[in-house]
Amino acid sequence: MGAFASLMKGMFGSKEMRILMVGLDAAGKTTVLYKLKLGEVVTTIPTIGFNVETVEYKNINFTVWDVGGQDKIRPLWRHYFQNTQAVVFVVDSNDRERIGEAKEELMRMLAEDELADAKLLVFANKQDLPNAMNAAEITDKLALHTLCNRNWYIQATCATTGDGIYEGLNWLAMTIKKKK
Amino acid sequence: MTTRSEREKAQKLNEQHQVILSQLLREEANKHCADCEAKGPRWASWNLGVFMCIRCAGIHRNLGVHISRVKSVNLDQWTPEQIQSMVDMSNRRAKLLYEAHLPENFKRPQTDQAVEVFIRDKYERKKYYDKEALAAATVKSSEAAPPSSSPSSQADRSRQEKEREKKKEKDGNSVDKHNNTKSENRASPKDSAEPAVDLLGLDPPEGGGNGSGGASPINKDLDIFGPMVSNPLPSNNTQQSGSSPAPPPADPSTSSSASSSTSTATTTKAEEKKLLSKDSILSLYASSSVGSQSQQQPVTGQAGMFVGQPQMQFSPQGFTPGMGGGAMMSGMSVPNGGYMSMQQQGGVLANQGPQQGQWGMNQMTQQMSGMAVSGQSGPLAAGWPAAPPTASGQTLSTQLWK
Repeated sequence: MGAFASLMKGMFGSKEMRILMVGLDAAGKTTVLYKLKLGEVVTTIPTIGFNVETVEYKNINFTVWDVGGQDKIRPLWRHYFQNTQAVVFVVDSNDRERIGEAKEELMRMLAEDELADAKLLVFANKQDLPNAMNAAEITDKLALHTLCNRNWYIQATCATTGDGIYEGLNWLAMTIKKKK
Repeated sequence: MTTRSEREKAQKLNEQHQVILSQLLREEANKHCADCEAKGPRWASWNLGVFMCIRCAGIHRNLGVHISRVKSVNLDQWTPEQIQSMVDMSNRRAKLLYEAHLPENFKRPQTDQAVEVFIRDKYERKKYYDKEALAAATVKSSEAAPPSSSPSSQADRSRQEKEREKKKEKDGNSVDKHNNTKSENRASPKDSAEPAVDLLGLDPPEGGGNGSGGASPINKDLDIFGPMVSNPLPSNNTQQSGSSPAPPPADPSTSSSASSSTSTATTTKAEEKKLLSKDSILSLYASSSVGSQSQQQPVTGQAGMFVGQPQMQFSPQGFTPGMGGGAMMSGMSVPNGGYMSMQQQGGVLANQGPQQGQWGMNQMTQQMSGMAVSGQSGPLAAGWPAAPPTASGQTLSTQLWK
C-alpha cells in the first residue's frame, strides 16, 4: 500500500523541494515568501528567527525557509543547510552600499560542503525603487560568473508587485525536473 | 581571512558601540519609538538618527534605503559612522526636525496602515519637516535663555519638574529592589555567562560606590576602550551640554547626566568627568527655575540615572514569566492574535533595557525551539537541530498577520 502510494505519487503526484531563502536584512525575503504563499503583500516586521511555508507550483511542493538576515543572526543560516536543494538569495537591488557585503555572505555560504549540490537562484529584488541595479549589474557585483560547478540563475524581481517571483520558481521547477 | 587580533578588535569596537547605544537609549526621548511612541525601541534608522519599535522598523524598511536605513540595536553590527549619526541626532532632535509642523493636537496613529501613512508623510514626503526648526532650537539653547519661556514651555517645565519628582520616588523604590537583585546576582555563578557589555552598561555607576569585586574586570574593560571611544564621545558631550536647555525641554538633568554617565562608563579620565558634571550643573542652573532645588538636582539627576539602570537589570528577571507568555502567545496560530502577541513581546522587551541583547537571543532561541545558547550574542552553541521542526516555524509566521 505504502509502496503503491509512493509510486503513484512519483508518477502523478507532486515532487518536494526544500528551499532556503537567505540574504541581508531588509532584502525582502519575508515579503517574497508571503507574496508566494498568499499572493498579497503583508506588513512585515524584521524576522528574528525564521518563517517557513509550503507553496505548490507546477506540481512541486516547495518548502521555503525564510531566515532572518540581521548581522548577528546570519551564523544561524548554516543550521538550515542540510538537505537544502536550492538556495534563494535575495538582494536589495537598491542598496548599492551593501552589495559587497551581500557578495561576501553569498560566497561564504556557497563554500559550505552541505550546499555543494544546491542550486542557486538570486532574486534581484526591489526593482521598483529609483536607483535599483539591474540583474546584469547585480550579477557582476556578486561575481556570479566566477562560480564554477554551480547551477545558478538570476531573476529581477519586485516582491510587492510579484514581478519575477514566479519566473524564478519556474527555473527551480525546471531544474528539478531535468534532474530526474 | 581576518586574523585573530583583528577579530578581537572588531569585537571590542562592537562592544563599545553597544555601550554607547544603550546609553543613548536611556535618554528620555529615546525611551519611546520616534514614530508611534511605543515603549522601549530596540531598532533604529541610522541615517535618520531615530530609535523605533520593531513594527515601525518594518515600515521604515519599506521606504527603501535611500530614505531610511534600519538596524537592530542588538542584532546588527554598527560602524562608528552609524553610531555617530545616532549620537548626533537621536529622537529628541529628530522630533524638532521632522515634526516641526506637526499639529499640536495631532493624535499618533496606532493601526499598522495609519502608522505607515504617517511614517511616509513624515520621512518620505517630509510633510512636517522644517530644517530651520532644529537650527533655531540649537541657537536658542546656546544663548542659554530658558527664563525666556513662552507660557507653553513654562507649563512644560512645571510638568517636567513633577515628572522629576515622580522619578525620584521611583528611584527610591528601585534602590531597594536593586539591592536585593545585586545580592542575588552575586550569589549565583550563572552571571559569568553574561556578556561583558552588559556588565559595563549596568554596573559601573553604582559599582564605583561599592568598590566590589566586580569592579576590577569593569575597569579593565574601561581602560581598553577609554581611548578608543574618545572619538565619538566628545561630540556627544558638547552636543549634550550645548543643547540640553533647548525649548522643548528634554529634561536637562536627565540628558546631561546621561552624557556624564556615558563618560563615567567609558572613560576613566577624571578630568573629563569633572568638566562634564560642571557643565551639567551649569545647565541645570540655567534651566531650573527653583533655586534651592537646582543644587540638589545634579545629584539626584545622576542618582536617578544610575539607579534607573539597576532597575532595568532587575526587570528581565521579574519578567521571565511574561516572556514565556509572550512566546507562547505568538505560538498560537490566531491570525488576528498574531499582531497582538508581537506587541506584547515588544512590551516585554521594553523593560529589558541593556540586557536585551542577551534576552533577544534567548527569545529567538525559544522561537527556534530548544537550542542551547552559549549566552553570547554571536555564535549559538551546537546541539541545535539541523532541521528545525516545522511546528515551531509557524510561530513567527503567525506574527506577521495583521
